[in-house]
Amino acid sequence: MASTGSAASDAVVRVDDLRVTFPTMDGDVHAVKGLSFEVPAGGALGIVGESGSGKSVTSMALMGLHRGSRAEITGAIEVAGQNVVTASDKKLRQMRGNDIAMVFQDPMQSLHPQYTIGNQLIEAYQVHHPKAAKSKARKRAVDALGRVGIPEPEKRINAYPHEFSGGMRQRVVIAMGLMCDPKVLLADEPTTALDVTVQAQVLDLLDELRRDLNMALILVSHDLAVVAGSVDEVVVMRHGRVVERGDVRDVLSKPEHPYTRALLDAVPRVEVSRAQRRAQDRADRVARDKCEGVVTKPGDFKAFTPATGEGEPLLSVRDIAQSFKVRGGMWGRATDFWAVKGVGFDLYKGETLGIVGESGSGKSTVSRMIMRLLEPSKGSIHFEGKDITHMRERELRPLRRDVQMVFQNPYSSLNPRLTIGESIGTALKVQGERDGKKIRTQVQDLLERVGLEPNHYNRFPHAFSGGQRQRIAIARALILKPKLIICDEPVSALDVSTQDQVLRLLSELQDDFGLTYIFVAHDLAVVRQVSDRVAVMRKGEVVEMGDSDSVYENPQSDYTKQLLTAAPVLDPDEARRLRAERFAERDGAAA
Amino acid sequence: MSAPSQVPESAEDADTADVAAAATQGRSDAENRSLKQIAWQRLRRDKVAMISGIVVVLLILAAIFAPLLAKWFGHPPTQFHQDLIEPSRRLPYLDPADPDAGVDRWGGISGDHLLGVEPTTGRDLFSRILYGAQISLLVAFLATLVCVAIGTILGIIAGYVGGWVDTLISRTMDIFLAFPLMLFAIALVGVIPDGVLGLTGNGLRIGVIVFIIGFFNWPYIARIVRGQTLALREREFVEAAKSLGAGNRHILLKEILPNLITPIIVYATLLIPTNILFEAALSFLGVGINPPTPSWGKMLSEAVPFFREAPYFIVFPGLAIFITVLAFNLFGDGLRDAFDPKTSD
Repeated sequence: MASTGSAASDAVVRVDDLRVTFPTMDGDVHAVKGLSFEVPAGGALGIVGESGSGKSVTSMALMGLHRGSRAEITGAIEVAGQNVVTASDKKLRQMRGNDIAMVFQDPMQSLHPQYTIGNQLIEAYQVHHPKAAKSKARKRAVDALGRVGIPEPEKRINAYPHEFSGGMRQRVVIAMGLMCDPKVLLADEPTTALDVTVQAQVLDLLDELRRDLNMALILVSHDLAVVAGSVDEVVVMRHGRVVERGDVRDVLSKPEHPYTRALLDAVPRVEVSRAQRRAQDRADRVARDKCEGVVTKPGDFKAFTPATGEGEPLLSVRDIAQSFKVRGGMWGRATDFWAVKGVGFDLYKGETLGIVGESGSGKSTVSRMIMRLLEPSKGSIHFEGKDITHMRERELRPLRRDVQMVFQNPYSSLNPRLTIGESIGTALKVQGERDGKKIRTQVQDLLERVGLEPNHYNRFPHAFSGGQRQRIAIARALILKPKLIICDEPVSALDVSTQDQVLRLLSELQDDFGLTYIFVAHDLAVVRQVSDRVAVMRKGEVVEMGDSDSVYENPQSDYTKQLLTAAPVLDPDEARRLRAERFAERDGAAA
Repeated sequence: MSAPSQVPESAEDADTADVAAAATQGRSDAENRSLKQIAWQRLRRDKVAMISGIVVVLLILAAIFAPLLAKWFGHPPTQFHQDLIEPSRRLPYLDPADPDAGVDRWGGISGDHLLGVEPTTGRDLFSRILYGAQISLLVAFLATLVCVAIGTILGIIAGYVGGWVDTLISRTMDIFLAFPLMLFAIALVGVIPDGVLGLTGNGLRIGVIVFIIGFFNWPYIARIVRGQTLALREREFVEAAKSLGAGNRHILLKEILPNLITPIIVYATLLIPTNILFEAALSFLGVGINPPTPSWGKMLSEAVPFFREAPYFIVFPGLAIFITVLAFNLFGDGLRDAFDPKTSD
């Protein structure tokens, strides 16, 4: 294990007291305030932090990408013995690709759509070897593609980026980084845009490459679980400062700084069940209420424990399907694409149904159909016994009081031109309330209930952080006192600590108002903790549905099993063991 | 692994700490600022935009107070000063008191006539340019208003409703943009009889020009509004409003329109100079404002025969058009940058 001291002599990356400052019209913003670390050849360092921690600014600085911007950089960044801060532009260009290569977050945007991947790979090589023959560069490109696990690289080299899936594209980006045998590979959130199964593959690949090619790997991520299995040393950043730095096993098992501890606690764990989480949340709440002088007996929550399978279901969904017209080419005939093909379930009052699936599984389409933002092509939806499948917008208006939605992206779900008070009050207005004062009081009460200040009423959304915005969105969903709330990826755009708070809020509100939730998410651990029942979706179909504990502990379908083994694990040793298992399985399959 | 324990309110603390840190960094008041206020702050830092904005305001004031300014600094715009003109060459005397001193290539500029006098008639050029600003700005503003009104309504409908309505409106836009506007204007001015809609003389001319510009330039605004509406329609806050039970009217007027106001203002500001130029071109061609009412375009056309002997006569109205158009364009660019969240400061 590379520790800080022993690596001093053979470190390929050495950062000493790095400070990055951006002068803005509102004064200087200190994005990084004194960061130091070293990475030995073949070593792996994780930089972890939430949004605004300065981790991405750091990775840009490592590549010298702040050149030409107004950023002021002090301190030293040495990559392969060269100081990035003081190097000439020409020298810096030589270093990029040769000494240090970068893998960006979004593989959809980091490849040029108009060139074949072969062109782009060959260019990456020829930039640094202008005299090299094209055939040689091409051979290297084929090798690199093969190395990152692209099947049939000789053929695929002539394909355009849009012909690859997201995970394959990220492999191509990694292959591009490998073209000149860099000493350091810098991966900034390389898997954030990817599905969990693909994420595991890409992380496995990075780990394998680092070992085989003796490259140093710097893995930047917001997710401790992503770096846990892949790095030796970890740096935890917050507000531009290092709060903790050390061996990954030590940091994750014996965190010293309270922030690291809080961060670790906030990471949802797939082994924690709904019952455990709920008990914990309620206990915390009782303790908190006690501090405020309110006595809440744990028994008070019993009333809202769901009554599954009794009486009439609140929501009854039968075989709903949704097709979209897809036009093939310019004159091609429109064909039907079935985003959802036959999903059905019953949902009882006070219950939470989790819908989990990867991108393209149709989970969002299902929630939009139930919300009746889309009209199902087939099947039926009954709410409290009423058929709402094909209701018109006007007939739906009373229903809107009872069914509400919390959207994924708190940045686009609030109108930037309306104050948050207006945004929340809109619902009352469109439902016929005319008394402005009454609306205001109700909105302010609700703002307080979701943990915001009543005097935030007149502020615009841009003045709030992501977590606060999601609280506002929840308040908007609650204002009509609905019976059912559909949460479509409500926490996926949030940092882990904020995510934890929002989940807690949702669970408290469920206790208080006896709400029924449909909780749609891609994160297996989050879904387990909030759901009584879980539906696993894939390609528009439910592959498995059942009581959440039994689905997670005893999955029946292969797909669920695959998802569960791919989920990132916080324990570094466990993560490494799972990776070894995946390698063994793959090698076994190859042989 | 145990159940997740209480996060020691770290993030909440972090938020307050953030605010405190932000306060020391001087962005504390960002909290309650509206986007308008932020844009105003940015605009104030943009020197070019501020200077051009001041020029625009001065121009508008000059046009409004033209009668007063003309009274203080010059003469009525239609008053002849034939005593200042040398009759054979029709140019102003160098010194009216001494006719033998010859003519002035610089138009008899004096304390009395700040920008000199017109050849032939001897009318005060300063007053005529001031009054010309009235016509130019009036026509440009009214025409822009018509463009914005038609463009916004049709653009928002095309973008929001979509389908065949969108196709119909979009193709109509294409047809209007393909129309030979200048030829049509020349023809129309010729055939419209005096007294239509109770308008006569210059009232009618202004009406016709405003109608032509407004009616044929709306697609520029409509295209922008349509595009923005298409993008806004897909935003989650529109879906959120729908799921609260909001009808189309509410969504269009309360959710989408407020987000369109900024681009509309910006593009309207950029459309004004185009319309000023169009009015000038029509007047130049003799189908704009009737003499003797001053108009910049007309002045240019009158100055053409004299451009060798009296270059000032072409320079001053030309400068007026140039400065006005440039000021509006630069101000419009500044507005766009100030309101655009993507431009960093």
